Amino acid sequence: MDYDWNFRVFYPYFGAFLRGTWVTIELSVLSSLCGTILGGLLAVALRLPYCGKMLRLVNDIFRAIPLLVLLFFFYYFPYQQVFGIEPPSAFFAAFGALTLAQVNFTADVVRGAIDGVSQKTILGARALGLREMTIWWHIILPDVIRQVMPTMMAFYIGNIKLSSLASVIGCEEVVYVARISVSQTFRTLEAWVLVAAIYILLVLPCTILAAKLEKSQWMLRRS
Amino acid sequence: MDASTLIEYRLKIRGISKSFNDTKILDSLDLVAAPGEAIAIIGRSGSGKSTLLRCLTLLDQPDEGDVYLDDQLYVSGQKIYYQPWEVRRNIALVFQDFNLFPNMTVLENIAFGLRKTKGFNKNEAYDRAEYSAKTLGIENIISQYPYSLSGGQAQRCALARAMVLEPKVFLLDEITSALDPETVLNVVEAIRGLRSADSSGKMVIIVVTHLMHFAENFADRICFLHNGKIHEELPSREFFRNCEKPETIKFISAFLNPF
Repeated sequence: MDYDWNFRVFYPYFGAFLRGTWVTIELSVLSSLCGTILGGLLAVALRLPYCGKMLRLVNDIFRAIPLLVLLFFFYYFPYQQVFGIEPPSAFFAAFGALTLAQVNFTADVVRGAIDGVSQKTILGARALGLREMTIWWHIILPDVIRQVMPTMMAFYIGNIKLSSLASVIGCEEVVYVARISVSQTFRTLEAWVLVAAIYILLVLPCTILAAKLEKSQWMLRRS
Repeated sequence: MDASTLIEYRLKIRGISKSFNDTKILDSLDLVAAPGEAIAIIGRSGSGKSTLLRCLTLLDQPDEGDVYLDDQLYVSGQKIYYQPWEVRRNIALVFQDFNLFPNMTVLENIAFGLRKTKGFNKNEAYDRAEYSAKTLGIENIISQYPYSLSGGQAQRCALARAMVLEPKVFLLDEITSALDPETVLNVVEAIRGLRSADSSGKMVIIVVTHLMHFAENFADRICFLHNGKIHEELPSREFFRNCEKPETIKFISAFLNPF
């Protein structure tokens, strides 16, 4: 191979790459976390008798919008004119868009999982005189978590990679740093090899953790 | 003995009706159970046996009628005077399909109700659950999960789970119907065990069953449910000899001379 690899030009960018990596981690962890909580709540709301259908339609509409477009919406929305507030930073706009995408996805997956909880089990719990809250907390929720865990883990991992789109609105995560460094060093291939290596380092442990979780005793307690 | 003349009762059902989509399943049904009494309810599939038990535990809401437990009116038509969970803590219902918690061991299944409805701590609940498992002869499988149990074991676990809460009324909904003949004997023994384990001697047991011999030997009284009403009721020793109504005779003859 004749290509003359040159990674040394990136030494001055070490700190920038590190900060970018941290922003990537922050962005994906925070949006996954908030998205999961809000998505779980939305999943319960989707089952409400009257507004459920409306919410589902709204959820489906947002799900149809590509993340890149959501990012632009969140970034270029006229906050000042509509709400009279300062526009958010690129980071918060990206956080908002990623969270929304995660909410849409989680709500749908969890809704399906709640429907999948055995009605007989719930009936058995009711017949014992358990309160509805106890049934939700101790019977339905653990079963839902077991059902959605593999899918959610896959989406969390996807979310790490999806966060790279945030660079287009100027959020200073790792891809953004790479683009800046390319424009200054002109070592395009090396920069992206570095970025790929960083993503591998971030994603691989998550994949291993997901596999371990799926095989854990707690997860195997399924009917 | 006419049940309605009994003064002391544990459970009293007055004129209970329930319809599903304009089909009347229960039609102004009356039934009274004295303390300690065991009643067997027999009848065709779809005659409303399960619906009756579901109405008593408020899993279905009756359209009309009153139900009293120990002099306390707890449901009157659409009106419920206690929270459903309060009622169900006194009136236990065991199902044909066991309905165990799949993600808990047998011991956890039995102890769960104790911890959540009676506030027992883990150790106390497990002690009681173990004792209850012993009574029903499943002490050797308490660490297994429901998927690995045979039908008979699962049903005895379901019985133990309900029994440990010491209900005032025990409702058993065709709990032997999904089991093979040998296991049925096992579970029937367990049901007898329930009765002898009741220290107060006042627990009412209502069994919905297709086992005529069991009904005859176990229950004090047999009620034939037909068209949403108790069509005929007699002390169990007399039922098969002395029942008079043509529908009852037709129904039991199918059991006595099946082929």
